[in-house]
Amino acid sequence: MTAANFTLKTSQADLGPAMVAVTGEVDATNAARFTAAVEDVATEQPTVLDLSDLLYLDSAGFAALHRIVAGHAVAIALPAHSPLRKAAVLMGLPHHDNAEDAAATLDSGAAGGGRRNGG
Amino acid sequence: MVADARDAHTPGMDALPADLAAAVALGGEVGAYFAGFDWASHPLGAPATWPPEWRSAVAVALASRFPVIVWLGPQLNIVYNDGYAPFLDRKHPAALGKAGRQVWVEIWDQISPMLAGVMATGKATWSDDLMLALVTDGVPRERYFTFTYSPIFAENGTVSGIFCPVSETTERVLGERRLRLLTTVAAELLHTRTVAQAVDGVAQVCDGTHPDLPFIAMYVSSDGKPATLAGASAPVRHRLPRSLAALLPQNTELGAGQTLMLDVRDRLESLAADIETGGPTQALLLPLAAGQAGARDGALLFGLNPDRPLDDQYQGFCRLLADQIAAAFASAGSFELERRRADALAQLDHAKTVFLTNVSHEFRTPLTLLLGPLEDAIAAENAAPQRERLETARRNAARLLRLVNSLLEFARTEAGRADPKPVRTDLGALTAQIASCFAELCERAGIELVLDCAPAPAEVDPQMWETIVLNLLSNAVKFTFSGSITVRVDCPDQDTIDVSVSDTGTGIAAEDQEHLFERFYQARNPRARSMEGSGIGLSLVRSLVELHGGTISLESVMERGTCVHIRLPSARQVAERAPQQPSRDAASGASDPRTATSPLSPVATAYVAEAMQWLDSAPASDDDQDRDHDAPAHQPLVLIVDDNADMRRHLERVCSARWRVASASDGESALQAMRKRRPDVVVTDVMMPTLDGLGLVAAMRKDPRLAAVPVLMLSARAGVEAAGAGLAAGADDYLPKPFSSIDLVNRIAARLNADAREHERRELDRARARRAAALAEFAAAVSAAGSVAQLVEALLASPAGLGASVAALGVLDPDSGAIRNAFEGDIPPELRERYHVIAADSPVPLATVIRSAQPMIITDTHELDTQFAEVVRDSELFTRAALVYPLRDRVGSVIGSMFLAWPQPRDFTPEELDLVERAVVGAGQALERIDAAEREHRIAAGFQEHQLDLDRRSRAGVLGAVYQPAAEMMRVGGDWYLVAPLLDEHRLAVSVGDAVGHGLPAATVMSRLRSAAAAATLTEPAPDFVLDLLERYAASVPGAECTTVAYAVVDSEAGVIDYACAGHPYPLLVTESGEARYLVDGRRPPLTVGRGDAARALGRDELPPGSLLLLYTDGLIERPGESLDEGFDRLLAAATPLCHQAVDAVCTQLLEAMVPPGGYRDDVALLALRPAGVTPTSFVTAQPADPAAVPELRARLRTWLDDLNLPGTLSHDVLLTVCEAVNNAIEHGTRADPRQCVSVEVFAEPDSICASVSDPGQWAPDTTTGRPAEGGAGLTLIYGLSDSVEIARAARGTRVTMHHRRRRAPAARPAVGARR
Repeated sequence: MTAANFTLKTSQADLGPAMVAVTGEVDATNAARFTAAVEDVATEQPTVLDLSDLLYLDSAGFAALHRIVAGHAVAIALPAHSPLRKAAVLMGLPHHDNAEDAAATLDSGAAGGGRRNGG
Repeated sequence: MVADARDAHTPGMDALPADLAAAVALGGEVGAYFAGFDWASHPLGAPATWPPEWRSAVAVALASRFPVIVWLGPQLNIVYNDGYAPFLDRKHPAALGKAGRQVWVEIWDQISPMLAGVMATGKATWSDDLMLALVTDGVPRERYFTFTYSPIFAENGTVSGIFCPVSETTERVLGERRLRLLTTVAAELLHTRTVAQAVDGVAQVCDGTHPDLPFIAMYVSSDGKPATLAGASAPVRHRLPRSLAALLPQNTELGAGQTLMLDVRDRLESLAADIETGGPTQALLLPLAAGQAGARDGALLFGLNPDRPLDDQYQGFCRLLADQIAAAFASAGSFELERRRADALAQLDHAKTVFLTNVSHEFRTPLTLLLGPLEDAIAAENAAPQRERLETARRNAARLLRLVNSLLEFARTEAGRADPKPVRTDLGALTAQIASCFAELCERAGIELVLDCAPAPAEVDPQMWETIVLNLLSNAVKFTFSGSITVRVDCPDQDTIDVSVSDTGTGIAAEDQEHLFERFYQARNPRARSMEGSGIGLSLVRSLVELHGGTISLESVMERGTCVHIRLPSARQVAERAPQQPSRDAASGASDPRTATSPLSPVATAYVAEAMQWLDSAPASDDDQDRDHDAPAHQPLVLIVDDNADMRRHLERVCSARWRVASASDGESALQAMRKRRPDVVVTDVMMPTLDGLGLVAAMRKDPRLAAVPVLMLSARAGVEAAGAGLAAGADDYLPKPFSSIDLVNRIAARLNADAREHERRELDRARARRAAALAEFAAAVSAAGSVAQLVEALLASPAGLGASVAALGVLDPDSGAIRNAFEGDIPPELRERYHVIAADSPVPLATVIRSAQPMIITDTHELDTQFAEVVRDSELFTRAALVYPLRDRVGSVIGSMFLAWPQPRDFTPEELDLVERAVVGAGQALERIDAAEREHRIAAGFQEHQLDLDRRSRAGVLGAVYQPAAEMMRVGGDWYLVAPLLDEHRLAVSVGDAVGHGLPAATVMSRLRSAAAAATLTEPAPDFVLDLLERYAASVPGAECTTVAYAVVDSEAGVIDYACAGHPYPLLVTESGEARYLVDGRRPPLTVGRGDAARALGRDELPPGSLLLLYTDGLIERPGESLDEGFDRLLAAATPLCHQAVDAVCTQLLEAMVPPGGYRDDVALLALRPAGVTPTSFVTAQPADPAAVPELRARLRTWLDDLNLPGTLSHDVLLTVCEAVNNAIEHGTRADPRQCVSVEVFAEPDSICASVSDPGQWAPDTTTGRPAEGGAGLTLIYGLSDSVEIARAARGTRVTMHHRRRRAPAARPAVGARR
């Protein structure tokens, strides 16, 4: 009986937002830890959360992301081929097809999480 | 936890031998405490030095989840486990290792002999439902336990300790005994008719001997006065305050639904002395439920068992009892109300009679003053037209006088004040003389009048007799068109005189005959000369005949004639008296009956004159010619239809001044005349022979040529109701008599000018008819509805639903205050779930109208108050306009609400609202009926379900079970199912049994045998051991004879099942490949039937993963007139296709599939089990209700799904939806109790993946309003990612089933779109 695991990999271009790639699983057992870990980065600077390789994200995880996006300059990249995409649409989580698009919304100064991409 | 135990440095730890070290690791809190205990300085010494049998017994106890205590050594030092610790209350943890007598001081007297016996003899004890007054929360409490003391044998064969598994049965024992009291009270209250009787009945049954009800007191108000003591249990009856107010704290009132706890010492000092002798220390005051209509104000005071805490169950019991009593009061109250109403009616009737008498008297004076001057005027008048008018006036004034006279006479006899003045006379002669008045009339009418009157001495009041004969004759003339009327008087013997008036007329219908002598009754015989009459004639005749000591009867055959018989006592029978000289006026002719030529009495004249009018009323064949000689042909033609000749002539006079006029005497001849020549307007009377006015209008409306002719209806019946009947029949206007000539002319003129309006009216009529049809159809559908769902369906389908796209019914649960909603129509399933149960105070119209008891008419939801913003947003797609009404039961209490919705804003016409309001009334009553039936079912099924808790703690398999009461009785029975988890988590014992009989006795036997079986599995789960033990135990339980049992132990790891059946139908095994077979080994006779020494067979079979095991009672397969084999075959056929259904669904579907025509005759218990395990096409697991265990489940499920090679994101979607459902089930269905399990069953079908998740409880009504809770987000994902979702709720728990269709290969899903 163990909690689910996730990993954050942060890379930093010279200019522009922090790029955080998330892998593993986020669910009710580790959503709080996940929030804390992302907020560590996001309170410092605008951040792109790349969920391309995230394996699993449940409703608790979506709730965590909603809170993060509402409170910080964070944009989410979630490509169309991701299995999470359909769930993200259902949950109304704003997201972008790739990290570049996500970063662009942060650059354009739309603090707080960028456009809603209903797609 | 293992790590924790190791890290803690404790003195005893290092010394623990390996077996105990392993056990304490699993032993939770007590295990840890045991490990840290300083055993070295304890008299028993360090555990390493303990004999092996102690170590293994303690190890078993510590690792077990079942409450166990072990008594060790001569001092009986105790060791217990986590499960047992709560029994020790505050003594834990200090009790560990202590000598038994120090620990269990309060019960030592009871248990020490048993313990000593086991130590001395090695013979185990068995205690069943033993009351032990354990100190709980510092107070001794009445609690019940079932336990066994088993010896622990040392190597040398002596007893060195005692092993004791204990199960607390307090709840069941108390439940049974409380149910028994409720049943007795219900039976007592069944036939009470008054509140006082109900009070006495309750006081008698609740006599203070029931432990849970030391006393009851009932305070009831009557006629709005403050409530006073109406009755109480005998022991306290005279020691309680008289008024309810004395019990309440000053200046307070007991609000509805509020309860008040009274401390006996503070508030009921008069009872404080009883406390010494075990009397109650507290009492509970509950208001009489105000929701019940007809209910009385007041309150019930319950004394409380001092040995039991007032827990939920106890409170529930008090509430149930209070509800029962309040309901009985309410129904008794309404019964009394009915009786008072009847008394009031009788008084009213009397007052009416007095009034009639007074009024009739008052009429006579003005009538006399009318008649006198009219006579004079006629005598003085020579001009014929004027004379004719005066004659008409006189005739009708005379008729009015006659009517007033008979009314007066009638009122007198009714009031019992008629005072006959009997005169000795020859009744034959008198009768002949009166009858002969009709001779001329009959001749003119073409009827033969036959007088056959033998001399007959009688004592009668001549005036009254005249009334009798004239009434009978005038009736005969009215209904006789040809043939004869015969008046006969004869004396069949010395003592009696028979008088009969018979005719060859149209006769009287059989259904009218019995009512004919009732006052105001008028047979509706269209074949009559006149429809006039007050309906008192025959009733008066009967009263008068009875005043003379006679009897009257009537025979009639339709179209053959009628005969009225009167039988009077002969004067010879009456004591001989000197013949009295008649003092009456000579007109009665009594002094000399033979003088047939004597002039008619004024009374007879009036009768005959009136009858003459009937003959006149048939106009001569040329009478329907126009009286329009002087009117131009282009003028409109008015057709006058009336059977009264005077009235017809009057109307002709009035109308002929302006229009052409034609006339007819009844509806039939009017129709004939109209077909010859179409009139422009028809003026018709309502009451007419052959075809009346209503029939005439109906016939005209059917005839296309006449349909458009306006009709003005005249009737003497005033009032809105009469007008309504006329208009509904299709008349265009209605004029009540009397009317002025000017008014009549104006109305006819208006009719003639109003062709446009007439069209409109016709439309209105049609709309009205449509509405009536809609309501009738709805009423039929509603009365056929057997469930709330069917009721909503009927509402939506009915025209009374006004074509709404969504309908819903909210049902108020008076206990919880929650509202349960049923929806029908175009509404997404997710919203049905979200609004399935809502709190009474939620801002949702379905709840609002229940609170306010006022309807809401919503023409546009966007204009609603902002408090409804959320529900408006949720329902935007299908609700932009709505009608929401409170539903009431027959006595007017709000019991629910009804909702109709349209997707576009709209207005509602008054007619539409009226239609819906009428439908609401019907729906309310149907809901009340359905709710009552369902409540009855719920009580029976709920009791059994409570008894038959389904233990869902085992991980060895997933389980479904269902209990169905017998259809006719809907009450408890003797069937049971049982699940007992075993120490080894891969093993599980299950059982289904059937105690003989029905009702509470069978349920009690069932409950005891079931407990015994459960306890036996703890000692040794082997089938032969458990059934042997049950066999022995059953011998000591009265009523347990011939009980049948199927018992099995399932091992999901080894994939085997060990089983035995005592006279019970074979268990059924369905494998995943769809093969089904019965397990026919392990047979033995029913309990108590076989000889004890017979060899006991055992059955063993394979139980591969994915297979399905079914245990059931014979009620499932038995049908009258059918062999058992046919039942077995049917079950086999019904179960085979269910091999890939979730166990819960298997239970409900089998129960549905197997139901005999007319419902189950016997109760049915059914248990389905699927062992935990994985095959390529099934994934079955009993998942601990612990959120931390979900990632592990996900890993296993992902591995299984990966092997299926599902296309696209399907594998992920199944994984996510299943885990969301599991999380919801843990959170809502188990209250996050990690010992419970959630069932997960996933099946891979060729074209879909089907996953079911079931929990053992019910979801809370959480998703009402407010922000989407995370449970709500889970539902959104479940619905959004699955192709279809079903949610099934039962008392047993909630099951979510999700279907995912397998789609095409991933090539069909272009991934290109992502990379633009």
